Amino acid sequence: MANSKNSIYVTLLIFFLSSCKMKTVFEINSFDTKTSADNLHVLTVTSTHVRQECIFLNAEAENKWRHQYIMYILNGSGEVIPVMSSIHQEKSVCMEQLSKIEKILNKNPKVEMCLRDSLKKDLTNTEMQDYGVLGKHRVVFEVLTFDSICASKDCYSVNDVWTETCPGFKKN
Amino acid sequence: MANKSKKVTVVRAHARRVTSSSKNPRGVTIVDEHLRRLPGTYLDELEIYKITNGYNLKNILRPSGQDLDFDDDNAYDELISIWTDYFNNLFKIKPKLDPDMIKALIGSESGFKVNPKNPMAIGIAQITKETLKIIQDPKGETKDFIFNKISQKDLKNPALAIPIAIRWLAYKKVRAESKLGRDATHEEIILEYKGLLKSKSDFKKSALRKYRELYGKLKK
Repeated sequence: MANSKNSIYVTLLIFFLSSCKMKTVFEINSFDTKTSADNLHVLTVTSTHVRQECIFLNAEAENKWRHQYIMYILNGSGEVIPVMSSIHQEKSVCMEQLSKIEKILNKNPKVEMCLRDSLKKDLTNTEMQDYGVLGKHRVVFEVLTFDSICASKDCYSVNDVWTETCPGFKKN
Repeated sequence: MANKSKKVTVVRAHARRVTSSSKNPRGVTIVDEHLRRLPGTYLDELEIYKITNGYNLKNILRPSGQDLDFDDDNAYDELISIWTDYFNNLFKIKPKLDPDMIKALIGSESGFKVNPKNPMAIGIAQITKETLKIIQDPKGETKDFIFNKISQKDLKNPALAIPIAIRWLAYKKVRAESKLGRDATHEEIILEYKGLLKSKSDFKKSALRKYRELYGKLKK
């Protein structure tokens, strides 16, 4: 009896652990644009693996306004992919983008993103990102460009200047 | 830089005829003594259009027509080539500004969008309000050659914003070279345009990334 109870606990534990494991999602598929190979990426990731901030580019006197949106995505191998907005922004515009994306991340456990540019490793980067309970992880990729983020019916895109976007995503 | 000859002249106080009104029944007003810039040392909206429309397009260097994946990436090639050539000749810039550099800069600033959402910088070249002030100040950093009566709204018009951006870049080239004490590379000029040449920011490389990628595509 005790043995069968134990085996039920073990089974439950295994089931619980495997379901926890299954909750961590990271998947990336790359696509070509008309001019470049593998320049668009559709990425599915758990929302907790996404950090974002508005950074202040420490420019000189006349250009002190420059801010830029940056997102850090933790992949399944504990490596961080940085993602930026394609142009510099004024602080309020950057914060507005951050808060819209924050809402999507908070509302949905999993998000789908469209990112642009070549996905290349940059092993010279020593920057670390802190994901709280998920630990600190190194930024090991070159920065990609943000295009869109979607989850269920919510979408936020800044792809109006581009000719194409990722398959399954809408161009503004 | 450009013209070493006299740039301003004094206009003495003089009478000017205006529409008669109850306050001014004689229809005459006195204009105070003021300075007038001589032609060839500034550009206003009309002059910019005149130059653009009458420019000899033969033998001028055009930016590459390589597809950059933007909606309007080749729409401003003619304006870029005209105004790069104009300022290269006017300021006798050496080494000359490269139209591909201008095109990649515009792509990195706005993605060739005429009015990107950004309240502090305006238009296709993302010129700041501060820069617009400097570029029109007869006593300011660019007093050698300024623009006149250009409003913030005008910067949403690429036909006006592109000449201003190129003039500003020409000034930034001089400034970068004086900081470095040698000829500046195209990336150093762009960093100076973005206000990051001497910055210790970790994101300097990232700020240049988009420009570098676009410039690379244009040079393929």
